[in-house]
Amino acid sequence: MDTPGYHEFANTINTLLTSPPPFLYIRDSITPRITSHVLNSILASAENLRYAHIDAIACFTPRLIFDSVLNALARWFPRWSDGCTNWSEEDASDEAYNTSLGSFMRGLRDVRSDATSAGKGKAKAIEDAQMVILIENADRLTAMPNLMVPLTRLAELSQLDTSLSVIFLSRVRWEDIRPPLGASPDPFVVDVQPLTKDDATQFLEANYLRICAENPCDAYDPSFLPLYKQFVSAVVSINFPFTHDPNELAYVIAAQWPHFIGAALREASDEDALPDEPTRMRLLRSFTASMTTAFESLYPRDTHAADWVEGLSTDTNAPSSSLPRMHKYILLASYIASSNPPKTDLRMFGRGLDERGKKKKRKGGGGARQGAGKVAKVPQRLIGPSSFPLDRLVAILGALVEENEEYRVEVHEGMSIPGEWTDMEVSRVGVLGTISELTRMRLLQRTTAVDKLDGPPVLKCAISYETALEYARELGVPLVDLLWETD
Amino acid sequence: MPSVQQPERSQTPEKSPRLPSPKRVNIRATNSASSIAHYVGPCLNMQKRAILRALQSLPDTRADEGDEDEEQPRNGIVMQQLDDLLKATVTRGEGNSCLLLGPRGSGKSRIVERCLANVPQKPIIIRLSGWTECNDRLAMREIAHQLFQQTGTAYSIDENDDTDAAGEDNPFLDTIETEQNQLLLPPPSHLPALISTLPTLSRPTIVIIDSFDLFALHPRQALLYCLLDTVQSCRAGSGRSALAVVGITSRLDTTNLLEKRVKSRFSGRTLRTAHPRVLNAWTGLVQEVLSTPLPGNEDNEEHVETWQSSWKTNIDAFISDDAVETLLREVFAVSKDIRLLRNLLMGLVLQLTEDSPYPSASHLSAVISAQRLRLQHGELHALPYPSLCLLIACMHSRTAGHDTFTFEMLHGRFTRQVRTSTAAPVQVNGGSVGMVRCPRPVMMGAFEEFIASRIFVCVMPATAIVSKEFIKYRCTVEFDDLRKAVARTGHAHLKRWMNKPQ
Repeated sequence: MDTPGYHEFANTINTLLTSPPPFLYIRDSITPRITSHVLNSILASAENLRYAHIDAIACFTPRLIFDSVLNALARWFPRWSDGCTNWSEEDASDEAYNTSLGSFMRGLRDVRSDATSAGKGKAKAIEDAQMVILIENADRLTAMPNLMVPLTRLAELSQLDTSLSVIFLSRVRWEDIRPPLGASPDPFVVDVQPLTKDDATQFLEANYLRICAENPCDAYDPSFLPLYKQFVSAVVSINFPFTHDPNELAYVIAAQWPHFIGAALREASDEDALPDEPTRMRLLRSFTASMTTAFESLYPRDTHAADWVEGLSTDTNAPSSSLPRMHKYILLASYIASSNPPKTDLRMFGRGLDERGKKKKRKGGGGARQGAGKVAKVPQRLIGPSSFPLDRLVAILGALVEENEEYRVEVHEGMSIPGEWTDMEVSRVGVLGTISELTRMRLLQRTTAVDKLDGPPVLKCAISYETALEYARELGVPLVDLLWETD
Repeated sequence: MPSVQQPERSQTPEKSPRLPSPKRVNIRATNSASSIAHYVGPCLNMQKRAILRALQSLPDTRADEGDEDEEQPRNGIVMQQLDDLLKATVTRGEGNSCLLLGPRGSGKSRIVERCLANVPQKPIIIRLSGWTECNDRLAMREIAHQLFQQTGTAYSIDENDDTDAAGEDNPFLDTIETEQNQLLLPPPSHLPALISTLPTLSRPTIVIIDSFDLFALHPRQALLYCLLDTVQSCRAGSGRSALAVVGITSRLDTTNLLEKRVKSRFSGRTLRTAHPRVLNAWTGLVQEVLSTPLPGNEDNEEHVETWQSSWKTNIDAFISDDAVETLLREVFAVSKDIRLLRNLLMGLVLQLTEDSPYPSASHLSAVISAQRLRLQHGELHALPYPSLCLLIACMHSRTAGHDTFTFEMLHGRFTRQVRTSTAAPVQVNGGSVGMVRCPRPVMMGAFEEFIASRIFVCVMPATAIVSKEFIKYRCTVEFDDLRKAVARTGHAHLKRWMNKPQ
C-alpha cells in the first residue's frame, strides 16, 4: 500500500486531510502519475470523506468537470440501463446541475446535504462529511479561464467553507498557471520529493508482486522474485540516469523480463529451480547490451514493446531509398537551397564556359568568424530550413544534374551549348509534377497557399541532414562541399 | 534585545534572519529529542489536528491591541457601519447601497457574513459573484434561482405568463411544471421587471455582490443600473420592502468604472477595510492558534496534561524568540494577507515530527522558503542526465547571445561536448572517461518533458510548417539555480561543462 518514497508525503496529506485547507496545490514535476495514484489511495482510505478525482485532460469542458465532480461526490455511477443519467436529488426540480457555475455550486450544496442526511439515517450522524475535489493535470485548466478562478475559490463561493477542499495536482509550478491580477488565493503548496534510485527499485519490485497477485502467468511467479530483483537492479543501474520515472523503467523491464526468465530457466540445471549465481551473472552480462537498446527504442516509443521483442523496427525517419533518381536529386537540391544563403549560389555552382567538370573549391565562412561583442550566427542547419522559391530549386537542380550526370550530348543535334540539354531536362513538366508529388509526400513543404497565383510557389526542405547525406552518397554528389556552412 | 511586547519598533531588523536561531531553542530541541516520551507521538498528532482545525476558521486578528494611536480598529468601524446600514434597510425600509473596499485577505467577506448573521429579521439574501456570473444573463438566472429557493415562489413567471397570455398558448409549455421549474430563463428584456419585483416581496432583500468590479465591466452595466435604480426608488415607510446592495471589491478605482447614470444612482458610500497595521496582531494570532487546547480525552489524562504544559512553554519560547519575530516581521512587511500567515502556520505545524516536536525559528524559515520565497525551480538537481545536459547547453546558448533556441541547437552543443570530452585517448577499466552519450530520441524525450512542465516556453506560434526540432523555445531556468543544482549532483563532467566558457 505504501508507495516507496512517498512515506513523508502520505503523512503530510493524511494530517492535512483531517481538516484540509480550502485550496491545496501539489506539484510533482517528474512522476505526477504515481503521485496521483498515491493521492487516490489516500483519499479512498480516508474516513468520513467523499472525494472526486478528475483529470483535467479528460474533463476538457466545464460541463464534463461539473458532471464528473458531482457524480463522484454523490457516489453515483451513471449506468447504461438508466440512460446514463447524472446524479440529481430525488425531490429536486428538473434543473440540471451542469449548465453553469451557479447551478454547479447548488449541486455541490445538494450533495453536501445529501451526504449529511445519509449519515443521519445511520446510527452515527456524520456531521462533517468532508468533500475533496482532486484535479489532476491542473495545468490544462488554463484552457478554461472562466473556470480556473471559481475552482480555486470554490469553498468560499459555494459557501461550503470548511467542508470542501480543492486539490490541484500538476507538474507545472503554480506561478506558471496562476490567473492574472491575483484573482485566486495563493494555495498551500506541497512539493513532492523526487524519487531516488532506491525508491525506483523498490517501486519496481512492488510492481512485480502486484502483477503476480493480479494476473499470474508463467513469467510472473513469486518464486522468481530474487532473480527479478537482480534483473531490476541491473536495468535501473543502467537506465536510471536517463529517466527517473519508474513507469518508463517498468515498461522497458516488462519488454525484456519474459525473455530473461526464459533464458534463465533454460540455463537452470534442474526444472523449477533458479540458476546459480555465476550463471545469473553471465546472463545479466549478456543482457546488458539489450537493456540499453531496449531503453533507446522504447523510451521514445519509436516502437512498442511487442514489436521490439520480435526485433521489428519501424524507423520512420529512415531514408526511403526506393525513390527514383530524379526524386532524390530534387530533395538534395531542396536541402541545399534551404541551407545555403541565396547569395552564395553563384559561388557554389557558377562555372565558366571552359570550366565544365572542374570544382571550384570555395569554403564558406559560417559562424566561426565573429567580431568582439557580436553575436555569432547560428548555422542554418540548427535553426531549421529556410524557404526558397521554386525557380531557385530548379536552378540548383540543373547545376546538380549537369555536374553529376553523364549525358550523351552528341546524340541530340543542335544542342551545342554545354548544359542546354540539362536545362531542357529539368524544366520538363515531369520535374514539376515530381515536385508537387514530393510536396504531397511531405518531403518538401510548401509555405505559400496553394491557391496563390502571383509569384513562384515557395517551398521548404523537410528532410534531415542525415537523410540528405544518405541520398548524396547514393547519387555520388559531394554534398558537404556544396554546403556553405560546415561544422 | 527589547521585549516583544513593545508595540512600535524600528523596521530595521537587528540581525539577519537567515542566521541560525538562538541557542536557547536548539538546546531545547536536543533536550526534548534525547528524552522522547512514548506519549509524544500521539499527543503531537492530536495537537497538529487541533491546530489545523483551528486554522480552518481563524479567529479575528485582534488587531489592534497594541494600536494605541487609533482608538478603534478599522475593521471594527467598518463592521459597525455596515451593521447599521443593513439594520436600517431591514427595520426601517431604507434603500441602501455601499461598497466594501479593501485589499485581499483583509476580512471583507468575513465582515459581511458577520453583519448578515446579526440582522434582526431574516431577509432574503442574494449572493452574486463576478467570477461565477460572468454576464448579466447568468446573474439574472442566479437571482431568479435564489429568489425561488428562499421564497418558494417563482417571480419571473409573472412576466412569462403575461407574454403567454398575450400570445397564443404554447403547447410545449406545461404551466404547472413551469410553476416549479426555474429553468425558464427570463429574456433580457425582462431584467428590469425581475429586479423591480424585489421591493414587492414580503421581506427585505440584501444583495451581496462579490467582485463588484467585474460587474462594472459587463456591457452597459445593465444589472448594476437596475439594482441601484431600484435601491434609489425605495421609499421608507411606503409599505414596500427595502433593498440593500453591498458590493465587495479589492479594486480601488471601482467607482470610476461605473457609468454616469449608474454612478449617480449609487450612494457613493465606500467602507474601507484594512490589514492590521502592527505585527502584534500577527504574533497574537500565532500564539492563539498554536496554543489551541487539545480536545478532552479521558484515556490518558495525565500524559495530555504533561504534553500540554511542555507544549505551552515551548510555544511561549517560540513566540518570544527574536529570530521568529524577525522572520515574521519580514513576511509582514511584504504581505499582510492573513491567508499567507495561515499557510505559513499550516506548513509549520506539518513540519513537526516526533524527533523535533516543538516549532522553532529554523522550522519557520524553512516553511517561509517553501511557501512564500519559493525557489524558481527547486528540484533541478533531481533531474536525469539528458535533462541536465539540455539545460547546460541552453545556458551556454544564452551566454553566446542566443536566448531562444531550437532542439537542434542544444543537441548540437551536446554532441560537440561529448565529442571533445571523449577525444582524449584515456581509458579507465576499458571504458572511456568522457561524457556519456545519449541517443537523440532520448534527448528529444527529455526536451518534450521540459515543454510539458513549462521550463521551456515556446516563443513562436506553433504552425504545421515548422517541424518540432526547429521550434524556438526560451528557457525559464536561471543560470545560478542550475549552477547550484549541478554542483549538488556532483557530476564531474557536467560541472566541468557548466563552467567551461564557450
